Amino acid sequence: MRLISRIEEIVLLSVWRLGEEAYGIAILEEIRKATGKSWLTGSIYACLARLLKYGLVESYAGEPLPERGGRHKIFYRVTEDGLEALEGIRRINSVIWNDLPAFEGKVR
Amino acid sequence: MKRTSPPAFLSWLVGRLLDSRVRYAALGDFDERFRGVARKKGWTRACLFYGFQTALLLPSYLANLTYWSVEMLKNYLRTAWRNIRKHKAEASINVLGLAVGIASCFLIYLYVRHEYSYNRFHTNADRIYRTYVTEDPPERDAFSYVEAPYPLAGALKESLPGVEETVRIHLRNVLVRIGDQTFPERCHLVDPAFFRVFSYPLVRGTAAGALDDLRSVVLTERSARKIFGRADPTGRPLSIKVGDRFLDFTVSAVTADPPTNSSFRFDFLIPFDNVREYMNERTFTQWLNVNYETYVLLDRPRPAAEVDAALVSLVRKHYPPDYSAYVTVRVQPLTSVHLNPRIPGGFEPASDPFYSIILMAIAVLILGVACVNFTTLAVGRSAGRAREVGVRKTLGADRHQIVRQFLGEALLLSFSALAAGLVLAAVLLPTFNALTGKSLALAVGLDTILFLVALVVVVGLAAGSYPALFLSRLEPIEIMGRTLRIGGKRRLVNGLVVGQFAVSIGLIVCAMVIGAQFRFLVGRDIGFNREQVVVVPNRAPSAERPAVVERLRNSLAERREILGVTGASSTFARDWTLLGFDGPDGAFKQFAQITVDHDFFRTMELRLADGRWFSKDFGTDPADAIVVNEALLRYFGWDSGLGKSLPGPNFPPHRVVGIVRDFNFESLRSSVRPAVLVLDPTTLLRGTNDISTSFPPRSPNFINVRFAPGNVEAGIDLLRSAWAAAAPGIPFSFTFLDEDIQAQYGEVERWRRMVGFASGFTVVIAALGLFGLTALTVARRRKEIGVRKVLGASSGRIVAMFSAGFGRLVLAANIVAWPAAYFIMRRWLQGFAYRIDVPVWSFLAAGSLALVVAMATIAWQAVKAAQTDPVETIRYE
Repeated sequence: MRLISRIEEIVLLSVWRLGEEAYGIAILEEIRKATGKSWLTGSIYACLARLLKYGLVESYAGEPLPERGGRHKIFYRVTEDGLEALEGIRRINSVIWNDLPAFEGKVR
Repeated sequence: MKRTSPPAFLSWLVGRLLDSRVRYAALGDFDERFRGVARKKGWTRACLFYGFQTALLLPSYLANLTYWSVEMLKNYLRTAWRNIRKHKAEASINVLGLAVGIASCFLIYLYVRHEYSYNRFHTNADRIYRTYVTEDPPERDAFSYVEAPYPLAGALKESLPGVEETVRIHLRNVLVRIGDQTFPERCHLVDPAFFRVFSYPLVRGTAAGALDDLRSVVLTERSARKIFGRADPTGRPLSIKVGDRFLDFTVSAVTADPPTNSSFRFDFLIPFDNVREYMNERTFTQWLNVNYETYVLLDRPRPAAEVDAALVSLVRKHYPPDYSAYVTVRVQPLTSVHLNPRIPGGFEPASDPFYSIILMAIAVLILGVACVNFTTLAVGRSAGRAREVGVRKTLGADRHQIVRQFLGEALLLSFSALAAGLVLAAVLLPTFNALTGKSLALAVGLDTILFLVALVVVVGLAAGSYPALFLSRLEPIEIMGRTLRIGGKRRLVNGLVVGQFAVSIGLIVCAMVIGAQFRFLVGRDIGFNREQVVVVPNRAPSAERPAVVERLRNSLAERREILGVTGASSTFARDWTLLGFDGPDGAFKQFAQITVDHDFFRTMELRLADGRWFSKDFGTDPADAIVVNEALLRYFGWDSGLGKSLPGPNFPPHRVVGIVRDFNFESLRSSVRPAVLVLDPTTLLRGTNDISTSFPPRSPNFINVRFAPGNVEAGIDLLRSAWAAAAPGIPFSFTFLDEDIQAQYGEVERWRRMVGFASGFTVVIAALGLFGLTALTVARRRKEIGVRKVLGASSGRIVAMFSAGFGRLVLAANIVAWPAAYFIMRRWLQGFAYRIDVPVWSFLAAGSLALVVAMATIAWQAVKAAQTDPVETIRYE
């Protein structure tokens, strides 16, 4: 199973958290709250494109709105594979974070 | 709407910078943000924000793109290189063939570029025009000529709007003397405005005023070097005999040698008014006496038709009333002077765009054959590459990328061929120059570089597009599952091979036919004996010319090395006189007149059909006797000519005393004209009002001397010393008559060699392609051969099988090539009055030649394959 990157992890989790309202700008906002940084719209979308390609996330359409120049909103939600990927990362994280020796070369 | 939505351009740009999967969503988000900002801070601010965001997207996009492009490029290059290493032979065939094609195209491009660049270097080129006259008399065909009457220049300045300058030009053979050396030279007489109109930079002296003084002369670097060596010639005196006497001229300036693409190839320039030395004053006001080329510089470029319209009234005003009805004076732009075959050349030879077209066609043919090689070999090789394509597609390549990869390989090969092609072009350049009669150089200018780049790209695309498209269409399923059948492409490959050999065979046929026509022309009986005759131009002052001939004849009379000395007004295709009159039925009749002497018949070994030749026994011969040729009898519809007179109303009494068998006194391209031979030209001149001549028809201009067979060298020495005595101070030069005649067909001979080369190239390239194809076929059918051998086939049978397979194609190529070649050659031959029929043997010879070459190409590999031990080939793999 392919290991997802940090960025992909953050984006996936934001999508998960947002539930029904997970679209581009909302995800941006969520990330800003979590990390304190405003990511570029472009990088979010590059990441989303990759997630879509690997099937970790799927998109569905909402209502057309005039604020968006008549386009409808595209929402994202995490797929089964996405969930699995997140699980996988979490497991690996807990494993490799567990039982670490003390820092600075002191032998355990 | 404008004030709330983002600019369309920025939206589009953002869209292109994002992945297609998320483009729609992202654009929507961008829009939303934009409107948010616009509402709070105004539209302009929003645009700035949008633009900023877009700009921020660029770096990662570009970095991504660059990185991956470079990676892919590395991969493609690696693959291409490996492919070449694995199939060195195939790659070399391709490179070689393409190199030949590129070299041919490049050389021919240089030729065509040169042809179309004639006269464009003048600063005022777009404002300079040459006048020409078209006469369309009733009962005759219309004809045009570029010689203009003396008063035309003045009339143009006076009545045509926008004329800045006019220049009249005449060309004359003169004698130039310095110290005790005399040179015969070509001299141009030009109006002083010459340097204001045309751009010929001076290396010594100044252009303004260079030709103001009547006896000033301007040299070129070359003529200055020839006469004065390395010294500065300005201010030095030079003696020039323009008319009948030597005059003292002073060198006023020296120009750089005229460039090769200048229609004027001059060595000496003297002021135009010097024509008074040899032209009668009366002709200066006559409009029907045409001798000079007239050029006009307008204030701005105008369409020729506009100027022509303005000239109509000029014609009406100046030409005699019964002529102005059918005379039109028109202009042609200087830039089209070199390549307009409908208007005769004038003093300097013009060319025909036909040559350029034929050469371009040849270039395209050669290149086409080479490109086809690439295609056929690539298709033949496609089984091998198919696996690679399958893997790539499985790994995620789309069709677009595969196409790009293979096109890239083709372009790579094309670029490699460029290097070899340029070397080849350099090697072939001297031969090419000899064949085309030019002196082109491999100059590297911006336009040549652009051409070469464009050529390479076109070649790469042309050669590689079919394989690229074909290979990219393969699906992994077909490839891996072995259900792939590229058999269907066999027909295409066969067709292409047939095409290649058809081109080769066609060119071989053409080369052979041209060669046969050439041999026919050279060997044909031309009615007189051309061997052992030299032609000496008679440069004595015109009044003395007959005397010179007489003195020469007398001093050589007793010598056994000399068999005959005769003077004539023209020699083979040099100089002419045509006389015309209105016949009894009103139809216009025209014939050639040649002034000869009593010895002409014997010296030239003509043959008599009836009657007698001129004889000193008949004292009245010079006054009233004429000898005509058989063509003249036919022309006037006479059964027997003896005793008849030409049916013109104004001729003094005369009669035909003899009829000679037709002999060619003009170029062999035209049939023998009706001709009249006279001892004294004035006999008939008095009776005609329509004279067309290239020189005053009085003097014997050429002396023909026949040598006894054997010691020609001694004869020439004898002639030289006799000349020194008979014509002291007059330069002596001679040419061999048979060489003169042969030179007439120089053009035919050159075309034969050109087409011969082209056919050689295409045959070699086609054979190379066949070689490669055979290799592929043999490799592919290894197992089949093994099986056949096991089942009892002999080596011979195997070889025969392959030979028949490809031999069929070559034979089919004949069917395609023969009609086309026949048609083309027949058209070409129609340009000759004396011609052969298209010979049947040439088709058979060409076909056999191609077949032999093909068989030889196949043979080696077929034999090797046939002798392989089946054990080697039928192994389980």
